[in-house]
Amino acid sequence: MNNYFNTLFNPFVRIAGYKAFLIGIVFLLLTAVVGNINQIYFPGILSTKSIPCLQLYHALIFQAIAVSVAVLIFYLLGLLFAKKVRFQDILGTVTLSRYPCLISAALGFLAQKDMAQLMEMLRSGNIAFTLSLRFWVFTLIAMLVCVWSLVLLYKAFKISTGLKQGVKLTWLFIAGVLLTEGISAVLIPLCLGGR
Amino acid sequence: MLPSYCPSCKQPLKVRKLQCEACGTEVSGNYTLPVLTLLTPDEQEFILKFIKYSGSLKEMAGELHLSYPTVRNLLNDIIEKIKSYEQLL
Repeated sequence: MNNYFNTLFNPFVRIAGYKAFLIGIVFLLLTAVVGNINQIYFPGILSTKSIPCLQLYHALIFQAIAVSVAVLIFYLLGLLFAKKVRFQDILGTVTLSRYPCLISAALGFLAQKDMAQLMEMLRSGNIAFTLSLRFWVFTLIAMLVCVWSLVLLYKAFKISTGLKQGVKLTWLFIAGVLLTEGISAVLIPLCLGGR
Repeated sequence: MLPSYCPSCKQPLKVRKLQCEACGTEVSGNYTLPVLTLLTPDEQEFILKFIKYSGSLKEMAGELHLSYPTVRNLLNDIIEKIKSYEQLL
């Protein structure tokens, strides 16, 4: 039982490099496809959005940009502040750290109806609207999944760079997350042609 | 396992006497234990495996069912520990 728990919350002790990357890619593709069906998208490593009327390629672009930027940023931070870091370790562990997002993507149907009604409300200006319990349940799950993914990303960065737990690692991680979110927020609209 | 720290005050132990079981000769002195004996049994086992695998962390990772960066970090921890022991001695 302890082993399963450790594998869920720190798989990088046992798997890293290109093997982790391949498994991570499978999860990313599944997340994009399932998310597209349920209208759930991940435009960044912190964001989970319900957006109607987007296509599958949007989901793929969101995932590709978020993960690519995260890999590059954390690799650069590793090169600057750690003794030794291999690109394939950062690539594999950061990619695999996104696997919990499949849960949010799969449960996105809980929020679909409320999001459609919310959009209509915003268009019509009628603010008399109550979000359902299903929406709040999904929101709670999406937040927990986001935290889980961030914990995995932290462990991915820690193991791939060999940096010791402490103030330096914490601040580098926070900087990496903020830079990734910021750069993704700029790149995604550029790649989608300003949509 | 050879004790390397005093159970009372936790300071490094030294060897006072060595004995030959074949002829009964005793050699007395004040000998410092090798740095390697100050490591935990798991760490000593790790170093032996490292040598047996000719220093290939990749092969060790496969054998121990751990990822390459985990094995590399374990090795780095042992290196830091040995350096600190060498400074103390």
